[in-house]
Amino acid sequence: MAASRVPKIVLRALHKDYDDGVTGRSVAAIHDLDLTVGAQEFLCLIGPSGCGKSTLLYILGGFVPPTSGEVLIDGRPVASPGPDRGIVFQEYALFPWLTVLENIMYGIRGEKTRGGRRIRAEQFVAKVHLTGFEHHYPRNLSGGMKQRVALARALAHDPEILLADEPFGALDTQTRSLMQEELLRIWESDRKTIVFVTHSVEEAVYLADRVVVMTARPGTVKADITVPLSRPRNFDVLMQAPEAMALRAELWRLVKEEVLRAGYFA
Amino acid sequence: MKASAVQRHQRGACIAGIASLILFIGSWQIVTATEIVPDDVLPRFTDVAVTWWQLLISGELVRQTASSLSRQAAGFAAALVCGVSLGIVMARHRMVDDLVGPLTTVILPIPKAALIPLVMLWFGIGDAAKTIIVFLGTILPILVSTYHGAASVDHVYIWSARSMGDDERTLLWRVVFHAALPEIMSGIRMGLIISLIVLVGVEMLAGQGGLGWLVFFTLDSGAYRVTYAAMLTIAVIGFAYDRLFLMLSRRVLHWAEQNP
Repeated sequence: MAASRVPKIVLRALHKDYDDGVTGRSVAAIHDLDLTVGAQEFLCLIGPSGCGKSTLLYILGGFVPPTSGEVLIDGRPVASPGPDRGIVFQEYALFPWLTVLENIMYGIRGEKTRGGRRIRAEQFVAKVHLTGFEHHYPRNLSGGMKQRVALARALAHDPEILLADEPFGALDTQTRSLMQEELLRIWESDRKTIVFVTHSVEEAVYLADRVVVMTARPGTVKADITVPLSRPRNFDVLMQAPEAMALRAELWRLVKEEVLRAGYFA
Repeated sequence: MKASAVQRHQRGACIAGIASLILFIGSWQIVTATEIVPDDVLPRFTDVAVTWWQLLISGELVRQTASSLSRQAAGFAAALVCGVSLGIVMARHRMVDDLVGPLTTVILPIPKAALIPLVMLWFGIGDAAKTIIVFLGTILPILVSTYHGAASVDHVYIWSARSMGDDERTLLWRVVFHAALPEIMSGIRMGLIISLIVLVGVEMLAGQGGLGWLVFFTLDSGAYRVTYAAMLTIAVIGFAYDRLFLMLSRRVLHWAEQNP
């Protein structure tokens, strides 16, 4: 599946060192990582905490420069952040001084007039089911609503790639599964290339075309597994399917190995 | 409709404030009317009030107040523009921070009133000197607050804006300024108070009109009632500033989790 796709993102021999703030020594966060993400592919990155999966996402976003290696999008090296890559953070990152509608309008530039931008933003408000909340400020929204605004905001300027950094990690279980459903629905109608960082094996199986398991620090690719489940997916049906259960077990085994290897529980 | 606990508390605080004010003025009137305190030390409140009214009607008070406020407004506006923009740029550009940072650290602890003689030496005793002293007294609190606000802007705001197509310059205004606004406002509040202090100080020393001059000049000539009337006016202005500030603050920070 992945191989047949046109590569959208290519990472080659990626390496990232961090300066340890305490000792001043440099610590490898990512080591010799190769990864290709196909156009319109939904890729989940999982791995133990501190394995560099978020760092990898920030490098893709152009927010953090790699120490060495290549980051190519459509064959061109990434030098800085750009509107071709939308991003959603776990902590929502909505601008608290702007209303829901203004937050979503923030990145829309294609339209010539403010009215045009507004109409486009309103379409996205409807898309994430927030009609009626356009003029609310973020402080008056629940976590799930905030994340829906963040999603709409990241998609409203029509990026080709969506980067998601554990976006549903702070939500309660019900809200989380509703948000997953919503994300899948949006993605199935408007296929972006998605790189989605999560620590939930279940979430990865439910959402992804392909799951990449990262090793403990320094992070590199431990396993690269194609999810053999058809779409559209229904969470309740899916999680009963034998393939899904086998995949979950396999992924959990891989992640656990790394968690133990990293010595978090030693 | 039942008043909420907060409203009840606010009303209570307001009544308490008025009561303490009445008590203060009442005791002032009693100790002077009974001549426990002689009139040339402390004139009666009622006499001061009459003098204040006469000064107001004659236009003298308005003239001196206007002269004070225009100097203050000019100096303060300049400090606001410079302090906010410099604070934001310093927070986002290491080089500017390295250049300007040490300077602000050295100058910040100097009591700004100590700069008055120096400014008079360089710029004379006219309006320019007074505006400059207000500027110097106010720019640092505004700059330092803005700097701290801008430096602590969550990086996810910056990254979000960058990923929506903002370049570094655009997001200074669209993101950093707005995110730093609560701190900027607290810098403004401090700046307002300091500006009134240094303004009155420089007017006392340099003369040439203004409320500070009125206080000092009448003290010298023994017209104590005018002295007190001028001081009361300064107090009222300070109080009005604070109220105006709170109103403004609630308006521009209505989106924040907590209002000051």
